[in-house]
Amino acid sequence: MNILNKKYWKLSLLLLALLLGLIIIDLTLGSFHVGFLDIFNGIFNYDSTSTAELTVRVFRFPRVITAVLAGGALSVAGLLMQTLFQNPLAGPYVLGINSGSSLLVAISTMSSFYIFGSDFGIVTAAIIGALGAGLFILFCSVFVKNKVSLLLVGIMFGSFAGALVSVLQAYADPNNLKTFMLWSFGSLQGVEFNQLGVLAFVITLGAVLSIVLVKPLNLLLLGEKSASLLGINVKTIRFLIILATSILTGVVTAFCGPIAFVGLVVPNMIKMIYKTTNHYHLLVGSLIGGAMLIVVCDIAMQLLAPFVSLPLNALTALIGAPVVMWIIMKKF
Amino acid sequence: MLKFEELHIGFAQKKHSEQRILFEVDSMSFKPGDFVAVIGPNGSGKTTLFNSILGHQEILSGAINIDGENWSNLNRIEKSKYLSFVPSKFDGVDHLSVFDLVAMGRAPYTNLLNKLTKDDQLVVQKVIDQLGLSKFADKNTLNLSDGERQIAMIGKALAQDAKIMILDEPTAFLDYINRRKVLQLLKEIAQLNDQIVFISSHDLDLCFEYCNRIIAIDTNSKKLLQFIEPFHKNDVIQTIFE
Repeated sequence: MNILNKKYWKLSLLLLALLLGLIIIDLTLGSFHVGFLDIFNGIFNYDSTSTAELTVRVFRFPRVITAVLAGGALSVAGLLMQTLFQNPLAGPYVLGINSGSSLLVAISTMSSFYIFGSDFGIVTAAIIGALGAGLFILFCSVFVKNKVSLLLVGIMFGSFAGALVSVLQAYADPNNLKTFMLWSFGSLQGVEFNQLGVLAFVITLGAVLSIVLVKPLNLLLLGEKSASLLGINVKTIRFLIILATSILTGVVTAFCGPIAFVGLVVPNMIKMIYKTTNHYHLLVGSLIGGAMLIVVCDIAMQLLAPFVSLPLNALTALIGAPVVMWIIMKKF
Repeated sequence: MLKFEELHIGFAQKKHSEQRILFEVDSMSFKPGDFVAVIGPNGSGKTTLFNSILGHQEILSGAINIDGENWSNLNRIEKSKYLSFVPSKFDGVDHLSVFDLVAMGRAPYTNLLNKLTKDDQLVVQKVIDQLGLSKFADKNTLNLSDGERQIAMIGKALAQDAKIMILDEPTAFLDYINRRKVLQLLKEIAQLNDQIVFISSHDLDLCFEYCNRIIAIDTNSKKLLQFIEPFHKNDVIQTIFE
């Protein structure tokens, strides 16, 4: 419980160093190799006449930073869900939170009204969609006590939202449909340099909200009744956890598409490495671990790019699905 | 000092069911150091009584007073400093150590980030020593025996430093040796720490041996009755269970 526990800080620092290494490797990769000096200049000392620096600043830096932010955000969201529902298989994707976002993004990109056309509009739509799905799952969790049943409800909700999206697709304008399809594969390329600020700001907001929830999260491990007897207002906390998850999942979904499995896999890995239940450390670990996973995925995509072009979602599922099966065999 | 006044315990009226009073309590009070066993047949309302005190369930009428304050006027944090609870079974949580579990009892006193102060750490360490948990302090709560885990949970409640401790059937899942061990421990806690300790139990003989007060739910007259030492086993059984 002691937040100054050195062992965990050392682990986090180690992971952070690893992450920095991966980020630098990832920045050199792409359609052509870029040296370390050009990377440094491209970020801090930008000269638009140098092709290498231009590439770094316009394409690679946003891509890699998006990977870091998206991975961190989704993993923290997954950790919050797992603790709230006391279920190691919970995550924003399995519980249909992503699907809620997708549905509202589909409505906003494919409807002919195009009310939500701007960045701000899509982000807002995605967060509202995530919040709606989150509150729905929360509502169901009051009635469904069985852990597996709740996951099934989430999966059904995902299918239902997916069906609605299909209906929308059937009537959509072909250009809008193409935009939406590309978005739904999941991509780190969609974020431009000047949009990074928005993404970073919203994710920081969600992360700060999560850090504030550390104490209730720790106590929720004993169950909601015990937590309430230790002075936690469970109803408010449940809503705040769903809100934080929705902000984190929503903004990532808006910019990068629905990315599966990261939120489920990373917190489980981090719990195994850290061997603690203190969410202060688990949050920091998930943030870094999630970033590492997506950066690794991106490195793989860049290395494979000359031979085969993989969508991000295919890669995360390739890594994620076996891990999920492993957890099911171990814990259920 | 804990006082029940004209208390009606049961289930409030809901959409599909009428109000159902399980039993009433005229007036009853408990002083620090009391080790109280709540007994009664299955379904008589032992858990309902605890739930009503813990605030999971409404009191139909009447009042609970603690140190002259009306219980329902206290806020959640204040209540958590008066009242600690141990459920009958805790399955353990992976990677949660015994130390961290006991430290959870300090939650009502810690800041937003749950940082333990020096004082908090001293309290936790004292509890661990008092309960003989030092050997297990770093052990995963998932890997303890039922008896060790139950004592660790009592440690959490002790660290909470509350005036009243409520345990729902603390011995239900324990073997004979551990039952005696836990009850002896609770008796000492009540006396040494000047706490009021409530347990519910079906182990009448052990209750008679360790507790200094027995309150029993009489399903015939729908009243909460009390017995004070020396207990006459046959009297109690005849009144309550026949």
